[in-house]
Amino acid sequence: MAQRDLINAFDDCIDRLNNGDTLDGCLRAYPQFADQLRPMLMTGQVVQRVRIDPMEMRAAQARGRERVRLALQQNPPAPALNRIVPLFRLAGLAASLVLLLSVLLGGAALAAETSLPGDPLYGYKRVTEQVRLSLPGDQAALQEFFGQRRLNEIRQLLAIDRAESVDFSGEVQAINGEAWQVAGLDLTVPAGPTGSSGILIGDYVAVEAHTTADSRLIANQINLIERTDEPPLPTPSPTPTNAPTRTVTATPTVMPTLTPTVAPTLTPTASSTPPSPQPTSLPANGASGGCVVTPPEGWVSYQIRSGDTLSRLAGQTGITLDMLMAVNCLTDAGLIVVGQQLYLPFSPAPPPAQAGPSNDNSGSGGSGGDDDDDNGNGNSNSNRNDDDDDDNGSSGSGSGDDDD
Amino acid sequence: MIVIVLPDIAAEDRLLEAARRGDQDAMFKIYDSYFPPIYNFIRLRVEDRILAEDLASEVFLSLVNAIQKGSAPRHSLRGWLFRVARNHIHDHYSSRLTTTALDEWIPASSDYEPEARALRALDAEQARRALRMLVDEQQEVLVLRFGQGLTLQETADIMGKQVGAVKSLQFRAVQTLRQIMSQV
Repeated sequence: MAQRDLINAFDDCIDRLNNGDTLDGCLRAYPQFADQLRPMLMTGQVVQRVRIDPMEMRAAQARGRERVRLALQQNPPAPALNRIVPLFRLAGLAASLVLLLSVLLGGAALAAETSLPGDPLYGYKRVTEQVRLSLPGDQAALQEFFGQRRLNEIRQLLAIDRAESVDFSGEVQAINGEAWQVAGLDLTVPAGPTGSSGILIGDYVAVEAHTTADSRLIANQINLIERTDEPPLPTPSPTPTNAPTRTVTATPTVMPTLTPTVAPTLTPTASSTPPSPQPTSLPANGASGGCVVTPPEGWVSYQIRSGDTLSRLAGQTGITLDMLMAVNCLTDAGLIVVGQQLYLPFSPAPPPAQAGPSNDNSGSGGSGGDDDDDNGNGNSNSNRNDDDDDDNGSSGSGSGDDDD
Repeated sequence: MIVIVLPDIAAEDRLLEAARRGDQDAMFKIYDSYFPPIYNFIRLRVEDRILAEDLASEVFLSLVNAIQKGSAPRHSLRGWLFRVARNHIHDHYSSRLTTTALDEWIPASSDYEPEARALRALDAEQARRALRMLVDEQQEVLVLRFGQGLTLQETADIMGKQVGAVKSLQFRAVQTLRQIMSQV
């Protein structure tokens, strides 16, 4: 009986603590059990010591948010299938597709809609697309819609580091040795029989590839679909002066290799002026029309500083390079310039000190020699600008969760 | 960073209703307020942060999915999310042994300090390790009741138990946790 009372008193004390009462306040309510309750409640509060590294939390939240955004984008919520009449008026392609699939194939098709390559329902998703394409309608728009879907699926797979076979098509936007960019995706094209020889920037290709657990996209096979004769994009007017390529401040790894084939086009006309030859946010790749920079909520604007690279910024803020580029409508990882504005999940630590002069105009307070690219957060000395919102366990007694 | 979400039931239901109608802002508000506690809940139980992140994201993808299928809850969103999170954890581990080895436990201190001082000295990692030595149900009940500040009734709903059973379970869980910590 006393045991039952103790159990009830313990439960009541948990509620009191959760409602803002103190440990002592509760013990005063149960003086006969105070000696037993005190250590028990303190033990229970051990759970509250378990703190998640705020950086880890933010990075996880940003990535998860992106997955939710992609899921919503792919499949805008289409509730209430019983509202038949208004559905016929829906203009949205996605909505009519969902309706069609639900009529043709039943509810499972709806679940299949959000599936990714490798998921049990993914084959179903692709079959339903073929069914839809075989029916009368605007086939070109549908093809485009499904094409975007493939790209979104790949971005999702990359965002969750899942290895799967994928396929997609799009325009070749950059070729730097094995590092290609196709349809806005970074694609590794290994030397060997991928059919990549002879393919040029601007070509429209079909790619069979696979994602890897470390967020890379590697081509297995590339087939030329169509060759456009347009000049290979994003460079300004091709006046072959001998202007130094250095005016474009970009990642040293990518710049020198930026297309030996189109070398003359690389030179900006205004070679002596510091402003970037590129608009701050590049227009999207030609395949998908205009891209609008829509940062997820909570992301901050960040000004590119000397020494920054996109891959480093992505690593520092815990997102994939691909996501960083997609959010900012970037089409070439090499083409960023000092002063350019980007959106990031949060403002990262300053880049390592550069040898050359830096036009760094935001006082970085420098000397932070932490040039490790990964965001390993177990280390105590990195992530210096991260302690703004949470005591990370370093100061034991000052915080308010100790009761006596 | 223990994130206790105080239930504002009316606001929560309004958000949920808006999300059910397809309001994406509402969906993101839900996401932003519940991701931290859900991630916290999962991360306490799952050592691998990549996996924890994956499972946490899937909780919200499940909500998106449920809304699309018209099977989303109308009330008690918080309970629903924790229940789904719990199911995801269980699904993931159903094929594995989850018993955490005793030798994972690192003593907070080796000399004979009073219990209270030892408890205060416990850091986050040690607390996590201690907690993970409990059986699943005991971990859950402590995380939900002490960590997330859920009520007895909510906890019972999430765990599929009677309130009386949860009361006993939380009592036993704390007893066991004390034993674990006194062994070292």
